[in-house]
Amino acid sequence: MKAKFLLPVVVGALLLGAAYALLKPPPSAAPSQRSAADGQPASPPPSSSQPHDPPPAQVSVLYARPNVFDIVVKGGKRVSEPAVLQAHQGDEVTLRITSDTTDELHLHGYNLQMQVSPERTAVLKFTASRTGRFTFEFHRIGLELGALEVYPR
Amino acid sequence: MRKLVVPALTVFLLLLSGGAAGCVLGAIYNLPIPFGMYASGAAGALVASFVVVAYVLGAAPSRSAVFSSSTSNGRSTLQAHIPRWLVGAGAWASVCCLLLTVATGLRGAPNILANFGMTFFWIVFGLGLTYATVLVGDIYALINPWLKLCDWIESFDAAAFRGQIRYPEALAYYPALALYMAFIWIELFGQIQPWTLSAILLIYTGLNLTAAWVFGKEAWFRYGELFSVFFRLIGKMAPLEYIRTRDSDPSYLIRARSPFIGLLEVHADHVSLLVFVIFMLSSTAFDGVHFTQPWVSLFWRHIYPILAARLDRSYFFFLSIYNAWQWSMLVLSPLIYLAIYLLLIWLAKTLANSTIHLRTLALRFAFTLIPIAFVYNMTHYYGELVSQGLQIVRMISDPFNLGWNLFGTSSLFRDPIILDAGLVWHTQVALILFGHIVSVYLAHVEALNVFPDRRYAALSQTPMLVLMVLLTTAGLWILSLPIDSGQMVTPARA
Repeated sequence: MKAKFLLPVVVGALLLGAAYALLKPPPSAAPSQRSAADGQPASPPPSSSQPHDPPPAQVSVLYARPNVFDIVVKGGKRVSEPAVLQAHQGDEVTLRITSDTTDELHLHGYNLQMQVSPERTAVLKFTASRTGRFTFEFHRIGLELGALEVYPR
Repeated sequence: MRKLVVPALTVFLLLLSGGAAGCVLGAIYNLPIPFGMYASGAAGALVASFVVVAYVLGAAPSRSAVFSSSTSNGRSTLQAHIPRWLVGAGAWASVCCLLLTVATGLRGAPNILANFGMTFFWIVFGLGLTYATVLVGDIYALINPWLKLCDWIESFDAAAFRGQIRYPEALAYYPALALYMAFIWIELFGQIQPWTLSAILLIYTGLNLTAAWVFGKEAWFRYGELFSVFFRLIGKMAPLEYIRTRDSDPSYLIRARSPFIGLLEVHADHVSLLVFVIFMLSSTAFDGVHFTQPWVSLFWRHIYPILAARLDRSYFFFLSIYNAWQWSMLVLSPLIYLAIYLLLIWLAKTLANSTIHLRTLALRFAFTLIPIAFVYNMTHYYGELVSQGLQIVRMISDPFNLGWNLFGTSSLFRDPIILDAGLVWHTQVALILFGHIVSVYLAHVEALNVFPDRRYAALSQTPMLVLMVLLTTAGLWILSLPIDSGQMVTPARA
């Protein structure tokens, strides 16, 4: 009887060990300072009307204050990084959106909207009371800009 | 070499998984589960497997004494007739819901999240009825709106749906499988708008009536109609079953039984039904992974650079290749699963030294995968049932978005209810482990029924155990994957 169980135990342990080694994620960066590599490379390159046009220059944003995120949109595309913003429940979050077009930003889940125009940087401040993953988009052109992930404390 | 191995391995692992994001209404708020929960969940699956195995083997003195599913064991004598008027009222209510869904798709709110028909069909019907079926049994068989329409037409012409030709045996469940694939494709890639949902439902209604006329309604709704087959399979997990007592003027008997025992009472009767079950698993897995960063980067990091270096084409060309790649993987996913499943069934047969044909064994164990397929679905979507599904309470008061307040509920749930991420994580892990335990248990019980010797029966289940631990571990892993949030720029938007 013992020998009968030995094979599944060994196979299972090996399986889990292999799965652990293969699937262990890299250590994540601190919220709100996540590197651009976390989000963008998984995405397809921005579209272009010309074959093999280089993608628009990425705007690297260093956050001087925690939970203050700058989002820059040019030519109907987000050009700032990162795509995924991270915060913790209870944080005061500020989204500053600079866009060369007029549109309406919508943060799903929180149901927050804000008018965006080229004249000025739009600012959306709120308390991250809900946990989860919430996408934000430009409503009129239906462009998903990124996501805000709010983790429990 | 590494360039080929890494993508291939990633495809293999990702397709063995269930989990994360992606839905027609795009309102999933799940966070990736922390890695620690994934690791402990996987270890829990392994421990639970051995506990289940020890219990099954320890509890059964012989293969037929306790676990024979073909006897009345596990069934209760508790049974009752369902009033015919109740079934009729339910079926007509179902027809009304179908009509309302079509009408609101054409004339209701254009926003997919605010449209009654979209929420009713994809969330209330597609998710809510699936989960309810596990609890109360296959009530869809009683209130199928398309079947009710056939019955209604028959009240004018009794011979309308007796069939013009005999349903070809070779077709088996393939029409339902093809429709299931189309359904998932529409869900994932169709970019459905309310009016297109209406059009699809009208086409599906026409298809059902035509097929029922050609093949006869009994045959079509047994083999061909997607939702009849789907809910019948899901309903086998329920502690209640409905038995039709008369064919000409049907009435129904409701009978209690042990939960999940219905999965062992009958077996898959055709390979097409096995593939249908496999697709339940693989489509949810694909749905779970096709928006995650590893999956998206698989193409854009590993395949796109190779293609772009060799082909002087615009970005849109590669985008179309990407779409074709996604669709191909969806269609291929059940074949990959099927190959793995058959390999492990063959190993089980070899270890058990059995002379039973591989096909027979594959069909006999097919339904034991349904609990895992179900919990994959539930971990993926149940949050959406709460957040978006409850919106139906508000929408029902104003289904056409005209400012009505028919039932006084139009101001309820204006903000979606979003479950706490910690609760969602724990529920996801618990559900996946629960499905794993049930599937392992059922497979072992079935093995005791199939193989004459308990020692061989236990040995035969080693490959199945490996399969289920692999599925569960990978399912938990994928729930921990970061979700891609890149700008999926489509040509229409560019």
